[in-house]
This record gives sequence, C-alpha cells and structure tokens, in this order.
Amino acid sequence: MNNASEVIGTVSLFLFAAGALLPYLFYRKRQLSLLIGCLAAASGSLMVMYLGFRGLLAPEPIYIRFGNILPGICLELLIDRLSGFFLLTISVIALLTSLYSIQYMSLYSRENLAWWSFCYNSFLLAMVLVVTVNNFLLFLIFWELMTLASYFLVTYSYKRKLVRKAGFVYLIMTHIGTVFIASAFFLMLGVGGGWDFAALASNSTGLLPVVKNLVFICALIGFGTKAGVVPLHIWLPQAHPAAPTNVSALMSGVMLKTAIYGMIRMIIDILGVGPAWWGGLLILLGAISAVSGVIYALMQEDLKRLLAFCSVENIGIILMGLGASLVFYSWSLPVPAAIALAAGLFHVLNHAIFKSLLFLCTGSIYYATHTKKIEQLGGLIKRMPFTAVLFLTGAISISAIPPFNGFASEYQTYLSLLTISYQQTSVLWSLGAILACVTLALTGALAAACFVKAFGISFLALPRSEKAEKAEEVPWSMTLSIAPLAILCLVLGIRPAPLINTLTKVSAQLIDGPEVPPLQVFNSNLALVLGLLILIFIGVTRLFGGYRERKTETWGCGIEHNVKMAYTAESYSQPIRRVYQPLLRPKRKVRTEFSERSYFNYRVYFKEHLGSNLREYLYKPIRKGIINISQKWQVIQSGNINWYLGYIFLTLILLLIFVTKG
Amino acid sequence: MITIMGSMFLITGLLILPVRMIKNNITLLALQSLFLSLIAFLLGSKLGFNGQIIFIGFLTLVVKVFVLPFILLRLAKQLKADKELHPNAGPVVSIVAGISLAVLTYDYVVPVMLQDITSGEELLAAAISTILFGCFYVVSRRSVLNQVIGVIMMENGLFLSALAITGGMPLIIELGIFFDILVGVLVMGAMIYKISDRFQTLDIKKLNRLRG
Repeated sequence: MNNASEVIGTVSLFLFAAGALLPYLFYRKRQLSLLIGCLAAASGSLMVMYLGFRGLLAPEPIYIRFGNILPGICLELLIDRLSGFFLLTISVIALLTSLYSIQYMSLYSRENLAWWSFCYNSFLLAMVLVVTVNNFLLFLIFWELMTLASYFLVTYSYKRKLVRKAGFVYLIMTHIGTVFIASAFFLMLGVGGGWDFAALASNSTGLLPVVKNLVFICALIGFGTKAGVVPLHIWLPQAHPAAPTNVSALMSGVMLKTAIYGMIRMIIDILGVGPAWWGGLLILLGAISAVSGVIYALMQEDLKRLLAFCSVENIGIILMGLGASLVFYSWSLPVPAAIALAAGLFHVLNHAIFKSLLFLCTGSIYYATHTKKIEQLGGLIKRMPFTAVLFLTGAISISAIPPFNGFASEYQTYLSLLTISYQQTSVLWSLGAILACVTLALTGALAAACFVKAFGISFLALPRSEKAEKAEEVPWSMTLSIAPLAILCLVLGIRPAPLINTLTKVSAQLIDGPEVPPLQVFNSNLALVLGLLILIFIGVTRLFGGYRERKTETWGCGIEHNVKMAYTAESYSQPIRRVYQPLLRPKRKVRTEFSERSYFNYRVYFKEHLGSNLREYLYKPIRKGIINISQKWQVIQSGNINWYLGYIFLTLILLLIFVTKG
Repeated sequence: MITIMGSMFLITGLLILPVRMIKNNITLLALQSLFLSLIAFLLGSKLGFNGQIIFIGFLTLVVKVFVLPFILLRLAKQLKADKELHPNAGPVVSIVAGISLAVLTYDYVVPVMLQDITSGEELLAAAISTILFGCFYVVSRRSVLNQVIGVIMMENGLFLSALAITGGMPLIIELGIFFDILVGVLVMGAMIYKISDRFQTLDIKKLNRLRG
C-alpha cells in the first residue's frame, strides 16, 4: 500500500533536486533556467500534495526509507497526520507560488536566475524534509538548510545595503534560535539513546520536571525565534521587505509554520503532557504577539512590512490555540485539547493561504508599479481590478470577517479559550482566558483597521504618484495562480467542517485519547444568512431607495479635487497611534512657520518617527554589551605571532601540570 | 651510553636557548640532531641490530645533520641574518626558563603523569623537555629564521619520544615525517625569503600589519 507513496515521495525529492541543479546547465539562458526551476518546483509540490493528503487521511503513518546516510542515522520519512497536514500546507502554497514566480521573476531578468532557482528549490526541499524526518539530527540539518536557503533568497538583491543588513539580522536571530532548539534536543537525549523521535519520546517520560521545563523553554525560544514571537520577531519585518515578494509569500506563509510544526512535535508529541503553566505561557506570548504585531502593522507604510507584522499577529493567534490545547492536556481533558489544537492548525493553514495571497497580490502591485509604499499607490482598483478583488478577499479573510476562513479558525480559537474559562479551575485561569478572548477580539478589530488602510489607501481614491497612474493589470498567469488561494479562502470559510474534523484526529495520533465527536459548525448557515441579508438590503434599497442616481463631480467647496486632499495612510493610522502612545512612544515634532501675520503663508511641518522600542530598550543594550566585551577581549589578539605561540605554550604547560589522568 | 647521549641531547637543546648568533644556533641544532642519530644507532644495536631503527638514524644523520643545517646556513647568509637582535627573553631568563622546564619534566611530568609509560634511560624526559624548549624558543625569538629552528627542535623532541616509547614508528610513517620536515623547511625558507623581500625585515613583530 505504501509503494505508491514511496515512489512519489522519492520522485518529488528528485524533482526538487533537479529544479535546484538543472537551471545551472542553462545558466546563460535566464528565462529557460527560471522556467525549469519553477516547473520542477511546481511538479514536486504537486507530488508532495498527494503525499500530504495520504498522510493526513491515512490512519497509520506512512514510512519512506532511503537508507543510512550517516552511521546509525537512517534517512527515513515518517508521514503521520501532523506531517501530512504540514506537507499539504507547504505544497499548496509552494505550487501556486512557483507558478506565480515564472512571470514575477522576470522583474529580475538581469540577475542570476539559476542561483535563485537553486535556492528556491533547496528551500522547498528542506521544508518538506523538515516536517517529515523522524530523526533529531536530520531535523537539525534540514532546519539549517532551510535557514541558509532562505537567507540566500532574502539577500537575493544583495547589491542593496539594506538587504544585506536584513539578511544579517535574519541569520543571527535564526542561529540563536537553532542553538536553543539543539540544546532542547540534547537535554532530552538519553544515555545511549537513539536520535529518533520515538527514542526521544520514550526517553522523555523519565526526565525530571526541571529538565522538562528547561526543554520546554528552550524549544519555545528556539522555535519562537523562527516563528517570530514577540520579542524575538525583529528579523521578520526586516527580512520580508528585503526578499523578493514571492519568496516572502513562502517564508511568511509556510516557513514560519515549520516552527509551529517543531513546537507541536517537540512539546506535545515528544515531551508529552506538562504542567498547565506551559499552555498559559503560550497563550500569554500569543496574546502579546497578536496585539503588538497588529498595532505595529497598522503603523507601517510599506505594504510588505505591514504584512510581515501581520504574520507576527497571526502566529500569536496560532500560539493561543496551541496554548489552549496544552492547558487542556495538562488538565486531562483530551477532547477540548484536540479541538483547540485543531483550531490552531486550522489557523496555520488559513494564515498560510491568505498571507501568501496577500503577499502575492503585493507582488503583483510591485510588478505593475515598482513600488511597495502605500503612500505612492492609490486608485489601483480601476487599473488592476482582478488584483484588487483578490487583495480584498485576502484582506477580509485576515481581518476575520465571515464568511471567510480567517473567521472560521479564529472563532474556534475563541471557543477553546472560552472553554478554559468555563472549566472554573481558578479565578486566574478564568479571568486570563476571558482576557485572552478580549485580546483576540481586539486583534481582529485592529487587523480590520489595518487592512482598511492597506486596501483603501492603495486601491481607492486617486493615484498618488506617476507610478500608480501608469499601472496596468498584471499578466493572466499571475492572477490565475493567485486566484485558487482566494477561492480556498471562501471555501474553507463556508465549509470548514470536513477539515476541522480531520484535524481533530491529528492530536489523537500524538497523544492517546478518546474519539473526538464530529464538530458541528454553522459557518455555511452564517454565510447563507449574510448572503440573504445582503440580498434583502439590496432589494429594500431598490424598492424603496428614493433618489435617482446622478453622476457628477463630487463637490469640493469649489476647489478642484486633487491627490493632496485624499486621506493618507499616515493620517489614517494617526488616531490609533495616539491611543497606543505609551506603547509605541512615537517621537513627534511639530513646527509652524508663518510670515508676518500668523494667518498668512501659514505652514505646519509635522514629523513623526516611530522607532522600535524593543530594539531601543532590549536589543541595543545587548548588542552594546557584546561588542564591549568583545573589544575587551581583543587585547589578547595582538597580531603578534610570539603572543599566539605563547598562548599555546602556556596552555601546554598548564595542561601538563594540572591534567590528571581520568 | 644511551643515557649520556640523552643528556647531551638535552644539554645542546638547553644551550640553543640563550645563544643569539644564528649561525651558532644552527650548528647547535645540527649537533643535537647528531646526538639524536647516535641514540638511534645505539638503540638499534641494543635491540639486536634492529635494521629499521638504524636506517632511521642514518636518515636523521643525512637530513637533519647535513641537509637542513646547510639550507638554513645558506639562507642566513643570503639574508645577512647573523644575530637575533631583539629576543623577547634575555639569555638569563632563557636559561632559567629552560632549566625550570627540564626540572618540571624530569620531576613531575614523566614520573607522576606518565608513570604508566615505561621507557629506558630517561630518554622520554629528555624528549619532552626538548619539545618544551622548542616551544619556548619559538615564543622567545622574533626572527623568522629562529622560528624554523624552534620548529625543528620540537620535531627532534617528538622524534626522540617516539623512539623512546615504541622504538620508532613504522618505517613508512618515519619516511613520511622526514619528507614532511624537509619539504616544510624548504617551503619555510622560501616564505622567509619572501617575507624579507616584502617587509625588509625578519622581525615577526612587524608582521602584524597582516592582521585583518
């Protein structure tokens, strides 16, 4: 039965490898090498999608064995429901992004496209392997491969200094994360135990509670860095604007999710049930990430930075679902736990879909206008109607407005959080859960505000710059490869039941528990009601709506309309900036200038700078400290060979004196 | 007899430390190598005319007593380097340090730390002292030529310790080591030539301009 999967798994891996290497044969013909790279990636993703479906639906895990690659270490893929789900998520996004890239990457037609294909395919390959290998050492290897490949993708336009800097921050942060992941694994490693996840899991039952807590914290920091949990998210808003947009779509949509996979695998599957405060901590971190992510997103005027901060927000929501599930597990309530985990996973898929949808739409905007600054766009809805509709779909989904998918998964997360509070374990938990719910609601509202701004300023009103004025609809191949994502948004929003009920089985495979009864969701009814309401409203207006339509210029107090009258992105977010002033600490400067009398030639200069408080108060001192210490230590690096030899000599003498036989 | 040769080996090593004339250093090094080859001959004949050890002693005689000193002397002549001008440690400090290193090995390292290793005639202590002398020499001198001399001295010590513990390594490895040191000195000679050409000095303190 597994034969087909085995063949398909092998072929898909080979396809990715071919997509990485073959373009170099046609190094000179850039278009051809790009085409080969993209098509190989797309077909590989198709096959992985099949594997994902099989893994998600099959009751037993699928094994694909490739044989030993290191002594005692076997490259073996184990696709259980969890891996299957993540494979599915990865492959859907990867397939559409690869198709999209064929046209999009022509923006970079003067660059080294073979190198791009190489990194892109290795990136996909690494991601597929990260979520399927069942061996800690291989997991780390592919984890690093994923990081490196994405690093090179981020720094693809390395000639710009900002890009190099962003790549550097990304590399440092993810390496710190990897250190913590590796330490978590090493803490779990038993004496003479294997590197397999199964061996680690059986070993972890005997660990001391202190060690377990330490492992949990390490895993949280390690994977949290990759996922972009506040306060470890600082690489995200830098790396995403730097990377080509299709790459950001993959990184934000899918790569962050591999960290979620790592957390689930490590904490729920391997480490087992822990104390309730683990879940509480996750919910807290999730709430903080969600709110601060969305507030910062609201302040951005670069579309990609905005989306990057939004990723922080959504990762926060996912973490809340995950945390709720951990809490239920430690209270031994497996059914709500499974549902909470399913809610989190559902949001993983949803976020992957609408975030890559939005990123790809931003890519289309960039393709058409060569800018990502909201302030320079405007009026695009008339020039790029299809992209506008797609972007709007994504924006509605991400703001958790029914009947789209963002609502479906956030609603389940709400329910899970409320269930925590219904348990009435203690005042702290009940209140905390309610507060988390409130935070989630606040997040949704702010996200809606954020995307009203993003959509309104860039698509409505008059074009703010020549670039936006000259925009044209992007080629069909690009719109068509985005469209399935928008359709998925709607379908998953209206009929989430089959998926959620499949996802509740995921956790049953990780931790034994009773059968979860199929959930009843009424999203389709809700969608129906909404549709009906809209129809009724339209009907009522048609029937009774009084006045005839009259098409004329809007009256502007006798002055002709121009762009400067339109609401800007800055002014739109200004009220919220004022509300959250203590959190954001903007540096504001107002200067008025007038000549002779104070009402003539009146000019106001307004300048507001919004720095990152985290960087100011957390990362800057750390960085300074490290640089200081390093400079102090530099004394020993005199550059004099005699000194260096002297160090060796002294070490030798000391060792001869002090080392006793073991 | 071997013990006497061993002590002579040690003493020549000790004498190299304070001497500042490079020519004399090279001569002393050749003398030390000569004692090394004599030790090999004696050990070989003691172990019932062991052909391998004697062959190695012969190789030592050729390579280390004649060829290497010849190369080094020619180099010193070409570069007009006859005296170490600014050693990091003066003659008194050098000799005191040398003696304390010897005491350390004779009284502590060999009898206490390496007590499991049996070697006759106190050769091991002499060997380890010589390695440490070489290290110290490299640290205390600033001329590039002297670094090479120090390295060869360490190599002599290592060679003797191999000889003392196991009666020499397999022949093929010994041949490899000889080839290694010969090529090493040739390459180092070329490098020294380049350095003096480029920097107009043999003082390694001036080389820190290379630091990145």
